[in-house]
Amino acid sequence: MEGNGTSTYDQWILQEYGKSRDRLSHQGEVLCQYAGNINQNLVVSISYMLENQLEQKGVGRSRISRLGYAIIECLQNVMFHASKNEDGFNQAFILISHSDKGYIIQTGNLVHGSLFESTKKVVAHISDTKKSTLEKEYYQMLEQGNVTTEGRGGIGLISLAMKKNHDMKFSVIENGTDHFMFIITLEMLY
Amino acid sequence: MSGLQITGTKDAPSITLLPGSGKLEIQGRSFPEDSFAFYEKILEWINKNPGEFSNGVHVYFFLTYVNSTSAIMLSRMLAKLKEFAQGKTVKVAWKYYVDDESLEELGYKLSETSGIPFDFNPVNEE
Repeated sequence: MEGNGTSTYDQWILQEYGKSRDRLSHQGEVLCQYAGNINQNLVVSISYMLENQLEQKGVGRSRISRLGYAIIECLQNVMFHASKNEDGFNQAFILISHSDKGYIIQTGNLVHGSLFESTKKVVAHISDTKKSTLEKEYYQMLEQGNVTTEGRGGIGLISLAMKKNHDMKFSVIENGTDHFMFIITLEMLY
Repeated sequence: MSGLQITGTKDAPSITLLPGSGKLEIQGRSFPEDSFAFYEKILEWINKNPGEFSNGVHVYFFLTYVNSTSAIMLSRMLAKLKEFAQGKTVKVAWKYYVDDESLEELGYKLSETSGIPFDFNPVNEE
């Protein structure tokens, strides 16, 4: 990312991270909060840490598994699609909170403006499509075995959005730079 | 002929394919950074050794976390094994933790999309 300089983007990410953390902390207990580079090592660390934390709290396998699966998909989505700075790092955040209704996972990351239209298209499709239709699409992708290293066709997000107890929302925020902020909020109800 | 042996890691499953047995075992977590590359190695081995499965195939799964791209690659692998079995028996054992609905659901989806009846085996955690 060039032009506005890395520090401007860092500040923007931290600002949104702060706002999101404040919102989630009012809704329940924040179990995990992180802002910085998201890579595969972090995906492994957070998934293991959360699993151990929840096991110690006596949470059942079903919930741990559902949450773990969602965390992995959300983080890997950031890993694959977030813009990288000149040092090769992405700037992103993840927050996971728990309330008496269930869990909330929120990720935020910067995406290059050239991907604005395609991102909005994916968002509109997932938001406007019935869960049963998304499930059919997921089955089709599974049946056809379509996957490439680059284009994953939104299968990770579809696999989360199609679940009946999941409510997935997206925010796309612009601030006049050549990047936009992409925020995913996944509410997993009991 | 040598078989295929891949040691499991924190994000990738162990793979055991014993030569001459038609048996394939996949166990562990499956959310590698590049699921495509990980499973391509297995598909490549299968493609190079179709005779290994001409008398039938027995696949044993015991997975925990499986990301969406791994699921697609598993689907692709099952389709290939079914093709190479040439109408002979294809047995798939799907073991999972009893409360792990996500893995149970994935097993049913893979069974349905591959057209292979799975033997479901829910187990309690130790």
